[in-house]
This record gives sequence, structure tokens and C-alpha cells, in this order.
Amino acid sequence: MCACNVEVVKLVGKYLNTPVGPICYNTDKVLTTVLDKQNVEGFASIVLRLASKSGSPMSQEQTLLCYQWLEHIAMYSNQAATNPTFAKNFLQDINKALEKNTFLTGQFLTVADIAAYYVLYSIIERLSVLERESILHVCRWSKHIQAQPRVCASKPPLPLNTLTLSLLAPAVH
Amino acid sequence: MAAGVLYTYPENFRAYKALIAAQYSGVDLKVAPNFVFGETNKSEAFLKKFPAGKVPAYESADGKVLLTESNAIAYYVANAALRGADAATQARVLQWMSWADSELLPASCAWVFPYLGIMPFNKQNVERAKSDLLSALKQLDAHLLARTFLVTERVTLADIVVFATLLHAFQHVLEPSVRASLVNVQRWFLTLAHQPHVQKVLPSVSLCAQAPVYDPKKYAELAGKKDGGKKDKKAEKKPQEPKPKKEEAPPADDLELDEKPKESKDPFDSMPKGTFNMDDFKRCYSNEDEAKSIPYFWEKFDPENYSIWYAEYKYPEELAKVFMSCNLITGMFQRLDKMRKQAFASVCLFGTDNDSTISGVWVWRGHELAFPLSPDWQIDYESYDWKKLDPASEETKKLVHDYFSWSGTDKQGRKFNQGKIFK
Repeated sequence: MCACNVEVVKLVGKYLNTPVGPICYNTDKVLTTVLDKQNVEGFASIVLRLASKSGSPMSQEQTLLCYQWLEHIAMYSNQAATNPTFAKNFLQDINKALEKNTFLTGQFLTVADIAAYYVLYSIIERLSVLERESILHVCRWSKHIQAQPRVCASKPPLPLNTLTLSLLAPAVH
Repeated sequence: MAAGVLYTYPENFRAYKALIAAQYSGVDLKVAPNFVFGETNKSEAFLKKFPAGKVPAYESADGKVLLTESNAIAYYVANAALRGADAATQARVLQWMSWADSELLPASCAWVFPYLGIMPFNKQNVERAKSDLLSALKQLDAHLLARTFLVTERVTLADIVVFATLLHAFQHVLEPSVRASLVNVQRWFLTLAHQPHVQKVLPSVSLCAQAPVYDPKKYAELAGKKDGGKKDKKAEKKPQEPKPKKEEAPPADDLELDEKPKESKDPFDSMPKGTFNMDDFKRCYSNEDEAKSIPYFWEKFDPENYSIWYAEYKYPEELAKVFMSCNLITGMFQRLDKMRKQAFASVCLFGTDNDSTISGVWVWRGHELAFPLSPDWQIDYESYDWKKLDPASEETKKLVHDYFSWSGTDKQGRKFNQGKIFK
């Protein structure tokens, strides 16, 4: 099973309202597509190219941070998808990043958040309520991302509400 | 559209609520130009429209809608997305706005204002305000653990109002170690501060870098005209927090703050009264020419029970503008208010901008340095060199003459610029 797969790229493309081209794996099992008559290889590169094609401008710092997160996710998510112990550590790292930042790259929603959400979707989906409690910041972030317009166009939102909202957030005053 | 004019003084966190909301909704909200706090809002035309004379105040472009309270103005200039889509959401937004006013604002003001010099410092009050605000922020932190924004998954008026209310606290008192325990609040605050619409109103919000230090000078000088560098030096020197007693109206007159300086006995009471009548001499000095009052001083002066001192400011190289140095002197006089009855001084500034010295001649009851008698008096005297003068010597006579009559020069020959009398 592969987490950073054709399906995720297609979902990101749908979110960005940008055609993804003939996406497939090449002979080295690397995601490949053709955008603007150019070969684009690798999950991170494809997602970033789609973002710039869709016309959402980013600062260089943000582009690099996105690239870093997309590479991180492409590197480890496959193993996380198959190995629950590995998944736990993988999610803990992301949880730590989201403790201090609202979004993966800081204060602004980027394509990295969208792509990461689609990749993590199946991993988080399998977690028990208790396991989710240990990654509350990821849950908070997922809930926010899936509330963004167009994110849940083709996938139902993760049912996170039961846990974070009624159990953990205290009834305020 | 709710286009209109907002009357406010600059950097008013209450006005930010409306200004930020207007950025989100695209409403054309202009800040009234030429607004002078304390004048414009006390003018007849203003009071006719807004009887309370409070700011921020809002007037719609057609003049039909007049609003005062900042939350109401922000609500009016907002759009549906900010106010909430349904009644439940709107009520939650309202809940947070009220919460900000009742739980955050009083504690935040009581904690921050003493450090800004708007209120006198009272350790007990500040500590209580601190614990109140931190417990409110703890609630907020728990709430934001599971949420990105306060009410919905996007910015609402609730976020804008709570953000604006917490602005002072984040800028001035919530030091990094405190913020570390409020990680969700900090995350939310920074995200809001970085929103493009917020940045149009507040281009950069700098967070408090270190624990605030109370500076009694600031309070006495009523912010505004500060004298840069010296402050830190003073603050270090005085770890114990002195409490200036002088009451001054806080510039934000829409805050009801009661200050109650404690009564204490005159520290000079322990000394013999002697024959020198301070009030009498002061009256003579005020009403008569120095040619008369100075001989009168020597005639009445009681060297047994009173002493004459020469004081020289230790850091003349730090004196910049003349008006700042004058504020330094008058500020010291204000803090020494309770000494007035038993002391007299003429303190003079010699020289010009960036090349000046401060020195003066003081007279008070007793033979010891009077300042250690009361904790209120210990703020400034350490920045001066004190020399007791021999009332019998000719040199003293000349010094007294020069200082009382505001003539002569300082030791380096700088010309007399301004004098201040403590009486």
C-alpha cells in the first residue's frame, strides 16, 4: 500500500482546480506526470508544480517549507501506512509541529496542508479515540483543513468531532 | 454599507476591533483626521453626537448612525461572515465578546497599565490581576486546544475582539516563559496577527521579549516624553517597587480605575521643629524679589535644625533635550511631593540640548539626607551627588544666592537655562 499515491495527487488537483496530467508510476516506481509538456517526477515536485500552475503565489520561504514537508511526508508516509508503531511516531512529529503553528508551514494555509491532509486521512481514520487523543494538535488541524472550501468535495470529512469537541474541550465558563 | 468615520486616538486597541472588522468586510471606515484626545471629544459638536464623550465613536457617512461602544461599532462595520451565519453562531460570537470585556479586559488593564505608566504600581493589585488574567487565558488555551479559531473554522468577530483585547498583554507583559504555558493561545494569537487583513491595521505586532520592569519615572512623567537610556539603569537600581503617590488622571478616561494612596505620617515629624518657618520663607520667596528674599532666608535660617545641601546630577552626559531634563526635575519633585512641607529647593538646568548639567540647592529639616526617611522618596536621589554645605561659609552664601536667584553658571561655565523651584 502506498500513501503518497496517484489518488492523493488527483485530490490535490481537484482542490486546486488544476488538471494533473497523465499521472502514473514510471519504471523506477516514482510518481510521474506531464505538465506543460514537461516531465515532472516525484510527489513533492508534482504537488508544488500544481500549486504554482493554479496561481496561488507563495513566498520563497513558504515554497521551501512546503517542499520540506511534502518530501518528509513522501518519505515516511508509506511506512506509516503499513506499520502502526511507525505511524505513531510519524504523527507525533507532525503533532509537535502543529502545536506552535496553526498550519504546517506557519501562519498560512498552503498546498502542503492540503496534500498532507489527504495523505494522513487514511492513517488517522484507522486510529482509535484514545490514540487520537495523543495527537490533539493534528486533530485540531485536520478539523480545520477539512472545513476549508473544496477540501471535502470528494471525500467525507474525518469524524473527529466526537472526541475533541465533546470530550476534551471543556464547556467554556 | 456601513461606511463612516471612526473617532479615536492613535493605537487604541478598542478602535482596532472596528478597523480590523472593516478590513474583513471591506467597509470604508476612516479614522477621523485631526482628532485630539481630550479636545475633539470634549467639544460641543462631539458631545452633541456622543454625550458620553468617549472614544472610539462612530458616525456613518450619512450621519444617521452614531455608535460608541467598540464592540457595537465592530459589529456594525462587520459582515455576515464575521458575525456568524446562524443565531447559535452569532450568540457564541457575542459570548466571546462579552467574555473579553468581563474576564480579560479588567485584569489585562490592571496588569499592563502600571508598566506603561498609566496607573500607579501596587504590587498586590498587579499580582491579583496577573493571576486573574492567567486563569482566564488558561480557559482560552483549553478551548483553543481543539480549535483553530474561537467559534468557527474561520475568523469571526469573536477572534478579532479577543485578539484586540489581548494585544496589550501580549505586547507588554506576557513574557516568553508565560507564553510557553499558553501554547494554543499563542498559536492562535500569532495566526491572527499574520492574517493579511489584520496586518493592514497592525503591520507588525512585537511580542513581549522579557519580563516587564516597573519604571516609576514613566508613571510620573505620564508616558509621552520619556528619556530613553536612563530608565533601565534606574530600574535595575531599584528592585523593590516604590509606589508614587501622586494621582493623575489616566489618559484613557473611559476606564474606571480607583487609586487609593495610603495615608502615612510625615517622616519629618521625628525631628525638632526649630525656628525656621518654611512656609513663611516660601511665601516671601514667591512674593518678593530675590534681593529681599535671600537676605530674609539668612536672617531666619536655623542652622541647628535645618541643613543646606548641594545636589548634582550624576549622569549629565545622558541628558539630551532640555525639555526632557526639565521633566526629570519636575518628575522628581512630584515624587517627593510629601517632602514639600519641610523642604525647599531650587534646581537649575545649565547649558543647551545635548550639553547640559543639572544641579541644585536644597534645604530641609534635619541634618541627615532626608530621602531614606520614606520609601517614596528613594527613586531619584541616588542619581545625584549630595554634598552638605556649611551654612556659615561664604561659598555657601554664594551658591545659595546663585541658585535661588537663578543666576550664575555651572562648574564648567555653562549658562543658566531653566530653573525649577521645589516648594
